[in-house]
Amino acid sequence: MSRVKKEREKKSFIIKPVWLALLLIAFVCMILLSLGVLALKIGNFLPENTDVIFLVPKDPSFETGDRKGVWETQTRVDIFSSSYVNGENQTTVLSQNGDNLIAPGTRLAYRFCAYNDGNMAMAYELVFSFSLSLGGSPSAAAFPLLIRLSRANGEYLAGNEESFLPLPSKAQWGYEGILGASSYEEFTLEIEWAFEGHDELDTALGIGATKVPVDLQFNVESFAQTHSDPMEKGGMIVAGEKPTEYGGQISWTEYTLLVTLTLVLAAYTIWIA
Amino acid sequence: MKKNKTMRIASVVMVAALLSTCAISGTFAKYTSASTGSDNARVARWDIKLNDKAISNSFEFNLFETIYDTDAKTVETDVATGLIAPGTSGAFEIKLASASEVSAKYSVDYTVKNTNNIPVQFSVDGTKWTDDLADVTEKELEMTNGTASITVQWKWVFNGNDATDTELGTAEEAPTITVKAVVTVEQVD
Repeated sequence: MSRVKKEREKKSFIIKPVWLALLLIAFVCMILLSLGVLALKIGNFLPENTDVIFLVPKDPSFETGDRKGVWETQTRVDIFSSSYVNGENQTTVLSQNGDNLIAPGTRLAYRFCAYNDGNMAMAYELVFSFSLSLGGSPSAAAFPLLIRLSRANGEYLAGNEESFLPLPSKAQWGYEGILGASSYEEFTLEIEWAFEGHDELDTALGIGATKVPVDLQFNVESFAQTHSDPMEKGGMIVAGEKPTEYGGQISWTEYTLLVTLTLVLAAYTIWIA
Repeated sequence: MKKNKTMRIASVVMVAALLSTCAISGTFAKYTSASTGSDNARVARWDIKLNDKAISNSFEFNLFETIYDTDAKTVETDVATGLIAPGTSGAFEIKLASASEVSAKYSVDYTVKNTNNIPVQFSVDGTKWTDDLADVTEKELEMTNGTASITVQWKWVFNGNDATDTELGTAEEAPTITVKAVVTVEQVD
């Protein structure tokens, strides 16, 4: 046997196990991904409430927004107005400088939506609060604010058809719900400064506003996280969406690349051998 | 050279395999979302002035602050200060001004206390005179630059009933008449 041939055999003896190890790793990854794809397809045909373990990524999603767009970390929305009319369509509140106003008797409604565009259920919470400031400094003064929250189907979540819920200053009120995959929920938030019942306080606030600005900031916070049961239902299913195909999505590009690399590894190994 | 090339390819393949596993494991992490929508509003101003003085919602005053002579213009000097007599007259103007950002309505509630029936007459238009003052009920006061004005005139006619006038003037205890006006301004819902 020639010297070159002996050296070649020696190299092959050292390098071959390395290639085999790499081939094994790639092969295991490919098997895992294949199982995930298989589980995803099978899961759609299983009866409801069947426990299914998914090996592929899930695709959760949750957004809150209104007709102007999706909320970010801190989004300015249009809850208040610079003028209001009464039941007889007469303007009873009018800003002198275009600022948004609130006054005794003003009642306004704000519509927003929670949307789950993903393929698994989300548990969410809406928290309502407001803060008051006098002349730019935070104030703990009492403020007679009332709220009412309802769904698009007319169900009241806070307050009822005849009354609003008082929301004290520096307090919060929260609502917890569940949104199923590809589902949404529309809410109508109503805010009112009661016209009757607090005349002295109302007058003091109104007169105080002639000396320093009395500002009110209203906040609607939304928090969401994946639900423990990805198949849980909630909200209204987006029209045109198929029933849940949850379990995640495969990146076919990655999958194809991995298969190709595995085949290349196999070819190298065989060639070296 | 061939060995280095082979090892480089092996490294690339290993990294690709590891990246795939990372992609799988990463998406099992718990997903959370948080966002906030907020808006600000200013409390609408309640700015009402009565005779250029700020009031909250009601004010009471005495109609006999200024007493004029028979011509209803010259301040009376023939009668002691604070007293009325046949021939004296007076007027008091109620001026309301609103710089508020809400619409309002006003009322004036008069109370005439005249137990001795002193023949004083009142008028709000200078032509129609009556023994009593009719209340003003819920008149609109426009917001931003709304104004309203009421002038209340009174008089004790000089050539009236001399016997009555004399009797009142010679009474042991001087008869009195008080007229109060309570002006109330309220926001309109």
